[in-house]
Amino acid sequence: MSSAFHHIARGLQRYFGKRDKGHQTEHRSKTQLTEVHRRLAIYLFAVCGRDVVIKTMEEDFLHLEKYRPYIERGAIHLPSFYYDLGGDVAGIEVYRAAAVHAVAHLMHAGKTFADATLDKWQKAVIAVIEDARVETLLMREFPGFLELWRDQHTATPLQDRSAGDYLSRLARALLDPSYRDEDPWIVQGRSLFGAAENLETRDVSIRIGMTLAEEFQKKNIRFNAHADRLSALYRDDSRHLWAQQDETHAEEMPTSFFELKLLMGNNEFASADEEHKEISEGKPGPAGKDAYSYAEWDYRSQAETASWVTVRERKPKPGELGIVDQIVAQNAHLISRMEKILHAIRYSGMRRIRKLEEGDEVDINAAIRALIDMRSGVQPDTRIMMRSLRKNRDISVLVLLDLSNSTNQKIAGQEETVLELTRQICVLFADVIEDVGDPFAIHGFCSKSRHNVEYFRFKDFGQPYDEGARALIAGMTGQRSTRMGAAIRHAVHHLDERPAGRKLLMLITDGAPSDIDVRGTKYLTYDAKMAVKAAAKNGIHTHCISLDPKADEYVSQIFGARGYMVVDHVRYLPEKMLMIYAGLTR
Amino acid sequence: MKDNISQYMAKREPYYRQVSDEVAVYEAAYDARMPIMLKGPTGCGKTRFIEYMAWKLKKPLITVACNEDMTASDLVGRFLLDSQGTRWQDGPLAIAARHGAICYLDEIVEARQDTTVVIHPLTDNRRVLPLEKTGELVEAHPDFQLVISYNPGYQSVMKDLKQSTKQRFGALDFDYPEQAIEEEIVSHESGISREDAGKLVSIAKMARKLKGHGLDEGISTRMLIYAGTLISRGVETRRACRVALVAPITDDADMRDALEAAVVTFFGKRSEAR
Repeated sequence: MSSAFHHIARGLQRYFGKRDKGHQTEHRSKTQLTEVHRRLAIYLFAVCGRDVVIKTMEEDFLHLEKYRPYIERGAIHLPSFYYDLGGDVAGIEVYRAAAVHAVAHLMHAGKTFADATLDKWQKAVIAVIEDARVETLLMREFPGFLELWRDQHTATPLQDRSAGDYLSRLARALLDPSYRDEDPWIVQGRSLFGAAENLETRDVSIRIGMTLAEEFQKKNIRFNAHADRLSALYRDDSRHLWAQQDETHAEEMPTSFFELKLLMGNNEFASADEEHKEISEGKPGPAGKDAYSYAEWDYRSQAETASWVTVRERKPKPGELGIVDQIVAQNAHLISRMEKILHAIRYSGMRRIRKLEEGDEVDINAAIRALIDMRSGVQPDTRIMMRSLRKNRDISVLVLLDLSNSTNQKIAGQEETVLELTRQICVLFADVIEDVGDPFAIHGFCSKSRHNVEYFRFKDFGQPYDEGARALIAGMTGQRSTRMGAAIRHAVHHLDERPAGRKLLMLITDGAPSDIDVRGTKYLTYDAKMAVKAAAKNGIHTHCISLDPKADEYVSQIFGARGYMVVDHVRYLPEKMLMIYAGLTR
Repeated sequence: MKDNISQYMAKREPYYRQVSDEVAVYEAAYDARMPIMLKGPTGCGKTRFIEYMAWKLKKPLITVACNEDMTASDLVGRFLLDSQGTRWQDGPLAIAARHGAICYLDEIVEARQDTTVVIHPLTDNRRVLPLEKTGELVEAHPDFQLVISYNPGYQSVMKDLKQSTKQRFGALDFDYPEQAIEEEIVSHESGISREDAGKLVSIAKMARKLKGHGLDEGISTRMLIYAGTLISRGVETRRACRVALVAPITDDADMRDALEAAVVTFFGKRSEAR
């Protein structure tokens, strides 16, 4: 009890002590992880060539000693903020040091230590040696990390009271060759580490660590596992080194997709082979020529799961034609404005660029003018050629509607439901595009688990926009969930069959991707993002019209910062449409 | 007139560091007058290679930088006006075919597809160039060879060569050379020390891992040489790297920060006294 109190008091003392020394009057500036998260991720990718998961850990302000990064299940956990240290070490530097140190562990990890026979002191010393080992290995490739880490070590030979002081000095001595320390224990540690031949395996850390731990007994200083920590903030707490210490052992980060499936083993992750069978055998729903299976992206394993989702094309039911006519009548002024805008920005057919010195053909008028000039002894204008530019609007548009259950709700602060707004946008769109003459299609989707993503084709590319198509649009209803990625992949499949030069997939949605068999939105958001990426690879431009004013965050995640816009009222549509089309026909 | 072919001869030896057997392979291909395609990311030495080969084989080299407004007559030739009336002017391809030069079409995918088909009759066993407008059929000089360059990376699938074009060429793959060779090249071209060149190459290697993960294209050897040149002219190292390596390739603030951190990783935070 008293030791715990002592520990807290010391933590507070150190915290405030530092604070007073460094910045006596002003508030200490700090760096938040959220501000630098992406920079760190990019930097780490550049270091090790793969994605590293960085997570925010829950910190405990009173227990500053616990305020240490840690590695768990292959993910790096960093504090939500770091104070800027004195000098020119900003918080981002601490983050970078911590993240790179953790990556060093990940890159040069071996098997976890069996620690049944080790006591806490031995573990602490071994961890320091292990830190030095992975840092040395990484510095062989990136010598500049020495400077990054060196600035974080503050231990000096004057600190000789606790075991923690000695550990910090040892850590510094093993990292920084310019650090001088004459203490025999430190000198021995240095020479043992320097003499080690093969740093590639962890055995060397155990061997040196055990020797040094034994040797330290001579100093007769007691070790307190809670208080005696390293003074360098960036070092992690080494929990990943020890096998049995975490009970979550069985849940260790799966390294391959197969492991993942074995681990999950439930209905969400049934094996892909089974899925194949289901399709071929026609279970659970009617399959055949209208069922398509697609892969899905799993961000946890960073891999695609082949044949994971089944998209089934369904016939939509027709509705009251009057609904569509009413929309057109009510928004006649908008339609005419949109048409004007679109006509203004499109130009098709031939354009002649005249007055060229070098062109494809002779501009006969200019040539005659030049000849007259020559005959009359005047300097002729030599720019008598012209060039014909063919600009044809070779664009196919597919409008994909999210028809999930949430579309039946009213838009915040308005009388109409999302579905009604979707239908209005859709009708206006169709009316204008039909008039402009671009081929277009209107499809919709909803989903009920990965086995059943329903896909409706209200109007196809070849089909005229007639009463039949309008009736189908009038009859659309909203139900079930939003498995966006699968629907995008299927829409891309339809667009791929188009010969057009430019292809546009326009998605109208009201919410984040979700489905009944997936918890949270992260998995499906990442999957949708991959689907959009794949579409871009096929030369298809994807654009999202979001009807949820608060959608910015996830929508921009999926479609990119410039790939979406939020429309919460039909009257804003013309300007937004102009933006998309102008962007595409540039 | 401009047809004077001697102006296309290299005056002195261009610096080129052989990476593997590409020089020997190219010589064999030239011996057979086989059309060659040089593939590889921007700034890895494709153009320098062909300049070097032209010098080595003592052949004139006519380079055409292709762009999307280029028409067939920009390659083949056209009628121009002068005081007597019209006059035919050979294009670079016709000049090369008549006089036996190596014609190098740089970044051929940038040209419109209808433009690229005019090279077809020159690249098979016919070796002729029909001049549609004058009705002339130019038979290629025995020394004539066609070389194109092609960067399969950043262009989308929309911009690709037709199979009928691709299959007329032998292809040499280029990539950024391995560490030691690239160090040598950067050091030689920019005049900085081998050690600094090594650091530049290491920065580039970090950035190249990010290709496709936020960067469209990695830092090229050419950019490293620019950075090295600035350093050797007395610009402070990190400043030079920012100007020549970081700022040109990305506008993404986070990506810039990560790249600048990569620079610091190798050149240090504090400026060294030079």
